[in-house]
Amino acid sequence: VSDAPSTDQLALIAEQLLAQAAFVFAELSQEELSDADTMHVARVSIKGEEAWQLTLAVQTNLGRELAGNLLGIEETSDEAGDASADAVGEMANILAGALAAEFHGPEGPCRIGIPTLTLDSGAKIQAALAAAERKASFTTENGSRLAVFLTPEGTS
Amino acid sequence: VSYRILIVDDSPVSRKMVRRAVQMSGLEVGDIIEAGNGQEALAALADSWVDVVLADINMPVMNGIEMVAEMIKRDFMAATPVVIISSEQAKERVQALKAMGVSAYLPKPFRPEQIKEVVGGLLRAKKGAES
Repeated sequence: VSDAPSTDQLALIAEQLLAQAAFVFAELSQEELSDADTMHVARVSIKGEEAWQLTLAVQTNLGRELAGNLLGIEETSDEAGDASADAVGEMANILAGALAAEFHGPEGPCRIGIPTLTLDSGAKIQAALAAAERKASFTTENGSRLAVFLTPEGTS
Repeated sequence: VSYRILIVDDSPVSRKMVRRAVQMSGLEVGDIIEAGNGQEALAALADSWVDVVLADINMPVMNGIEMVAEMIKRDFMAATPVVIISSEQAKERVQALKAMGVSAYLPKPFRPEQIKEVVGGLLRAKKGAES
């Protein structure tokens, strides 16, 4: 039996951390992402006894909101636009840390990697999300979409 | 007296978050300088006096643990307090870092009050030792 957090744990931790760290309030959603959506994507490895990859994908406008909230600046500013991809990476990093503690508890050795950042279509993320065993998809109070999922490393 | 602080993180957003927390803290901070990895941090430390280093662990080129190990080897850097701010929370890693001489460990996400408490305590101790 894998030590990886269940889908329910993943959803709960993501929802709580988004609210706590970035003041983004989101609810679980079944709505699919489409090609019309452009997503900032951050991928982080989590290595303990098992090796997993965490993927956090957020619509570009939500990337701006994350940057604005993390830095205390207007999300419509140029600075927020410039920082949006990195803000998604930082959010993925924080989420990976919380999930790593969930994998093995505070006593267990677990290492997290450096986030890699890409810009992908919603359809590509939706396909990866559909194939993932542990996943959660959200809609924020502003109507933006984000998805978070865990895949065994080397399979995504 | 105002103090110089060095923030070391490969993420510009993370550096700005730490900078903002330090600036909001009300501490007597003068210059805040930034480095994107451990190697850049060592260059900054060699170039000018720094009172406290706030560093991430996971960085390219030279990570936070390697940076601390290099600081220990250099007499003029060895006593500079280092606070690690990281999303990694494994107890064995925190204990190993403290055994290396790291002054404090703050998990991400941190609250600005935690920065004030930890950095303020280190600066007060430094002021006390110098007076």
